[in-house]
Amino acid sequence: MTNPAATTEKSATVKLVLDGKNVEARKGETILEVATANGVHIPTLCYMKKLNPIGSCRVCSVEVEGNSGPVMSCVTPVVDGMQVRTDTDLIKRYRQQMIRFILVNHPLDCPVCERSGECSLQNRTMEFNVADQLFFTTDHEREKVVDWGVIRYDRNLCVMCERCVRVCHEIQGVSAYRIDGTGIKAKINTQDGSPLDCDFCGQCVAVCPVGALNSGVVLPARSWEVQRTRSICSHCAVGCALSVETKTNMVARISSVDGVGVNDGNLCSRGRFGVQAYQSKGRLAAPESRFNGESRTLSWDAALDETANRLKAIVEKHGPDSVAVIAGERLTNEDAYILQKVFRAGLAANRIDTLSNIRNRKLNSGLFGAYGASAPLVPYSTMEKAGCFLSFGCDMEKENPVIANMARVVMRDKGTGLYIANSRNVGFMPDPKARIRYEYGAEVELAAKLADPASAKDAVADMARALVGHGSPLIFIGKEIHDHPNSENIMAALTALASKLNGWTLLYREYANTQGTNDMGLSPANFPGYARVDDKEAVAHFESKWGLELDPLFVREEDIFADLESGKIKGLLVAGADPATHFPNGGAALAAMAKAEFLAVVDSFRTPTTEIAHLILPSCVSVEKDGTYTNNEGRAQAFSRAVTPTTDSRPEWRIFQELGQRFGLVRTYSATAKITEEIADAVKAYEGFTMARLAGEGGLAAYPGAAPSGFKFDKAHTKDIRTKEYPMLLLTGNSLFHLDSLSRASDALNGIEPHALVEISAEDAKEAGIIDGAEVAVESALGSVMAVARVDGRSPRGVAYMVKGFENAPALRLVERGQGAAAARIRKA
Amino acid sequence: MKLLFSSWLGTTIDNRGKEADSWEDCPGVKLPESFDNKRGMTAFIGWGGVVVLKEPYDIVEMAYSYAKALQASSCAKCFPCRVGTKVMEDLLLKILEGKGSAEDLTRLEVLCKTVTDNSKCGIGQLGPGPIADTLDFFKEDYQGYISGGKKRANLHYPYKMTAPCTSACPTGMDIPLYIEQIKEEDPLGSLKTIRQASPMANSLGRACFHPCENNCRRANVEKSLAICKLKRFAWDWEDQHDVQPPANPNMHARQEKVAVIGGGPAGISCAYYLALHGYRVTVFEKLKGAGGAVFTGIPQYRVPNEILEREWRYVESLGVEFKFGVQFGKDETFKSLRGQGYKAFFLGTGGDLSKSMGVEGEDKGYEGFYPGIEILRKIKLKEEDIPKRKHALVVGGGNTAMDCARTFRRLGSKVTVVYRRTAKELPCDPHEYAESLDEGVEYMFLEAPTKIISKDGKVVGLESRKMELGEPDASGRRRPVPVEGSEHVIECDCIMSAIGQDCDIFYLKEDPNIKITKWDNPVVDEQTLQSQEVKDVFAGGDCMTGPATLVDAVGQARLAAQSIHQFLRGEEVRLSDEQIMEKVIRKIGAYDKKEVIPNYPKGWERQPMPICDPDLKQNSFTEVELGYTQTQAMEEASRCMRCYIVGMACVTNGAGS
Repeated sequence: MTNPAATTEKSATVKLVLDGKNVEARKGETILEVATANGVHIPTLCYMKKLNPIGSCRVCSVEVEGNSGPVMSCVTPVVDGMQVRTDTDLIKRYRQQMIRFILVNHPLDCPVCERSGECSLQNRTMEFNVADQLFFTTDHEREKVVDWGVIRYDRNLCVMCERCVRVCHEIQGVSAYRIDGTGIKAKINTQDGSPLDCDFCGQCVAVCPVGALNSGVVLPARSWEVQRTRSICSHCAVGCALSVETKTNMVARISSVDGVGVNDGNLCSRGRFGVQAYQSKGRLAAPESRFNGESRTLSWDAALDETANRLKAIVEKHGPDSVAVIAGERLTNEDAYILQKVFRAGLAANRIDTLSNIRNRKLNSGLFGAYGASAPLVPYSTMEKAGCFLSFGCDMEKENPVIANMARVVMRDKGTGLYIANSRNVGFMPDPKARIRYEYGAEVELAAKLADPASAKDAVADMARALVGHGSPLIFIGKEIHDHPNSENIMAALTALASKLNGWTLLYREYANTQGTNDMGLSPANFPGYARVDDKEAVAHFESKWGLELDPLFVREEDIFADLESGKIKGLLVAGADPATHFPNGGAALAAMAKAEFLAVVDSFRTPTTEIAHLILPSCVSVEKDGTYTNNEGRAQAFSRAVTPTTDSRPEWRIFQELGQRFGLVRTYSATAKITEEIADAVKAYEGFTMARLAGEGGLAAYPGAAPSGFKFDKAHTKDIRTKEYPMLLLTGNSLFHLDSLSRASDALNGIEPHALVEISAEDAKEAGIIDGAEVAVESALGSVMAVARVDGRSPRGVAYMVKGFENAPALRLVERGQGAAAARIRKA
Repeated sequence: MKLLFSSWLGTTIDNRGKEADSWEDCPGVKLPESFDNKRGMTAFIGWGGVVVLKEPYDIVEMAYSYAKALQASSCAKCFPCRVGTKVMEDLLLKILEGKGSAEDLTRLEVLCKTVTDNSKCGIGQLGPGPIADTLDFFKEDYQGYISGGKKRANLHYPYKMTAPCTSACPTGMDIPLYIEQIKEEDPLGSLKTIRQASPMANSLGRACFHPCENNCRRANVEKSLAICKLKRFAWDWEDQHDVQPPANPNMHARQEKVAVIGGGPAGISCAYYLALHGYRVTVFEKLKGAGGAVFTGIPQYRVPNEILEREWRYVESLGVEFKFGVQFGKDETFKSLRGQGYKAFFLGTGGDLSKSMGVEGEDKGYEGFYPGIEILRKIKLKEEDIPKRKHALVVGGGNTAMDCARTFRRLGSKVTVVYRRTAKELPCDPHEYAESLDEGVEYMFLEAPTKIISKDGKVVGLESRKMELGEPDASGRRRPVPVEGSEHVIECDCIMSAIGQDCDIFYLKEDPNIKITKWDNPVVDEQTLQSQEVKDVFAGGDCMTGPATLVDAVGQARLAAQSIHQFLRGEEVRLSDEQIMEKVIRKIGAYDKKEVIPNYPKGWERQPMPICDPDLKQNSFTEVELGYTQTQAMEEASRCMRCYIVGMACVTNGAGS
């Protein structure tokens, strides 16, 4: 392209006079942006930095020399020599008039309005000193919409700023809203006027400057009554910053703040409405023992004594390898660090694992050994540098919706194109440039072709050439690839593709701290920071940091469940995980765990795994504790306690520390920050991290970097596991509303999506006599679960997709170990 | 014209109380004398002021109706217009009902000013002005209502919301909306809006003459919007993404078959609207592809045929059948098609005969002489190899001449355009002229060819006479006058004539009832485009008007499709009041070149169009313009001022007094 002056001239500067002061600005900036940058306040109402300005509220007007009328500063770019006045009498008078127009027929609901005290209209009314009304019209009817799920709309309060319309279109990609009608009777409505059926992300509620859009998911509280605590969302691995609003030790609302955190104020449905999960009735209330089928509550001391004594006794009798730990990936870095330390130093027990690591060691504990600097985690800001996006085996809109929000903003502002390759017909709005659907199992061949278009004349070659044309792709890799039996080859092929085109890869993690638990050494192979436990230097390092001598540790990566089954492992601690629901062939895992001589489970919620435990130790959820999580990017972020536990539950690190004391470890920590300090001291990648430092933008971990040269892979397809009896390929994953026990504990999320859904194609549905919404049995050789059919275009023929995480319909129990999908059949229930 | 009162565009003419023969003339206002053949028109109110042609009128009632129309047209995207016009409407109603007070008049004045100054678009910015005019100039009428006694005249007030650009567009496209949708990152919504007016977003977006841009109010600030190229952006966006174009929910919902003769812009468009109504439409085209003059005449570097094909394929996907290689009048006739059950005909056969220059030697078949549009077709459709010419002359100065010249530059010839007036009078798009200069095309102005010089049956030169500019002619351009004895010879080995086209309507001989103009165009009703003699025949595009523009053809096709729909439904074939208003507004003029725009600072320049590598531009037929990127398109669209306006007539039953 030759000389599109538009893009080259953007960097040019212009000079203007702002309220009598000479200022410089970049060409293309608006008057409002320049004023803000120069500390000049121009009031706004409809404007939001992250949305395209539309100039609807007419409040940000200014006077410009040479123009007799007011000029809207949010939609007017500065030009050289412009003379702007922001506070003339005319402007002040007009701003008052604008507020009067808005207040015509505005109901006096302030005393009962949820937004009272944080309402832009109240604030502008006060700021402009509008104390009277000059305009009247015939009143029009009150109209409240209450059939929009968790969203409610009161058109009489609406100021028609279109923030909801814009955020839903530009950032959420759903475009659910429009202005319906003209003149004074106009209102916000859904596109076709039917009840709202959308992502229910609540972005519209978050951006509403007044009380027109509300969610029912709040406790009655005045904005000035609540305390706000900055937190990090624990629903997935994006690492969104939250503001936890509490009143009298109850979580009243989860909100988010533009410009804060990686999410720039965006949240998904789980993040925003998963609020009740934190204090739900389903929480485990107190330590509980269930020996001999008898359930009783007991004191923390008794429970901890029992747990420590049992595990110690097993180790004494059968050696340290007879004890294992399965840790959840929502443990904080501090929880995880203490956990591995307590078991390694206290019992010389080293069989510590997470479910992700058991499923795929190469992408967890082995990540940096295998990929070094090419490891698939990059800052989200990489999107801004990328020449294009390639979504590979990834459902961006559903898996990590807030990453999709970020991508949309970049697509809007930079015109970056998106390409999709998936085994299903996943979509994206705005539409991708091109889309390829591959057969599950053919990923490597496709990735190789994308790296080498040669002269082929097909859609794949077209996409390959387009990727070369744009250069520097950022490849988003979904969880389907993580769980894929051929993951190693696929990742190698995608890494090779990215490196050939000077691009990057970003692998989606499942849980809030999957990356952090890897970093903290929750694996049989590694200490925190990925040093091998059988490396002498590493041992010496941790001995010196921990001030004790370690018994020799051996890397034992054998299958925990097989060893439980065979009786090699006799004592098991499960901390914040539910293998029965979240591990392939969960039924077998459950049976294996049930064979343990002693099973202790630390969790916040009741799960199928707690049901077979000998001892249950209730733990805090994220809002009840301090800690740090490390997200998809490798960014560690701190959060603080917003409420004290309402049940007799404790933060995990405290539970582990108390076990450690009982194992004979001396050093204890008075607060999480002390552990964070020790991590920073002992783990190179986390050097310099403190709770205080991680409370702002967080810190990107400095991972070991040496990159292997070249990535070799085998292009062979993986075997199609489908059989005549089980003719469908069943893939599993999260939905927008559910992932695990945390989302399942939320009434709001259960209200939106009460049942496990299985997506199937219209053809398969027709053949099986299934209609959309019908109850179906999903069966594999391993068993059967019930689900509700969703007949849509997302699943191609012969492929089904089921939402996992429903403990009452555990889809993963149908999947064989070592597989990413099940051979299944679906029939009418 | 002579009228009772006018405040149009700030010039006040007030003939109230004067004898009709002493009325002052009002040259600035052009309005029809009657609304249609049954109803009279006595007044007009709109963005430029108030015009009263004659009695009867009721200015307060008209002001109220106008405020009500503003309120109904208000998009609700800003409060001053959304609420302000409602407050005005309520106040005016109160006055009409005899409940008003002098204070209300003051309040109305304040409102008019506030809404004008603060509204987001033309409805609010330009709507209250004429209401303020009624307050200024018709105080006694208001007093009549306020002090009681005055009764409402109960006249009719049809109105139309449009915009200067929309009004200038023969298709009546909602331009501000599609531009706003691009600005708001909704290119597909934008394309949907465009397609309500035309299926040819691609051809129009690449090759339209864009009268809209000559009627763009942004030009009063600095430079008009790139309306045309933004249309292309919307079409390209769909074309370059994984998107299924929208389907036709009414496909073949009706049984009636309609024959569209000619697969050019008019034919494709007419077929499109009829298909959307559910009719079964067949397009009969004599060539091997659709697109008409765009297909054969507009060179590849402006509208590539691969892209053009995707455009008519879209119309095909809506249920239109295209039959190629069918010469109407020979392979099929009115009779044969009526026999096959076709219930209506749309004639859109274009004008593809090159107009003769009237120059000695042009009918001799010299090697090296080409009628312009023929050679363009041969090159674009790759019908024959054209030998490389050393020096090619193009006679004419319109867009076809530009196409010939730029095409031959790409074939490696030295090219000179021979035109009988000067650069200032060139009828082609100025942008085309600039591009041609850039590509090395040379010009000889004030030259009129007189004779083709040949040797051995080959062109070797053109004898030409010098001209000078005389008095302006009917078109306003200065008439070229020959300079006696100035004949001279321009050496060349190729001459192309590009001075205009004629229509080939031999097929009309079949039915002598269909009237034909002296320029060989079928005669149809100018409002409805229906033949008044043979009622199932309709016509539009170049074959009906003589050589005109792509967008004129598309606009007529839209109208013809409406008429065909009315005809096939057995309804009266007529224009709606809104369409009549559209014509009224076109007559008075929706755009005022001299208007001073108060609330948009100057200096936000138009986005330059990215173009291909200069080497490719000179030596290949690669498309020159690359199209805006999304970022550029969104910024360019942001310059739009959304100049929606409402025009309203006061209409009486009967011809009026």
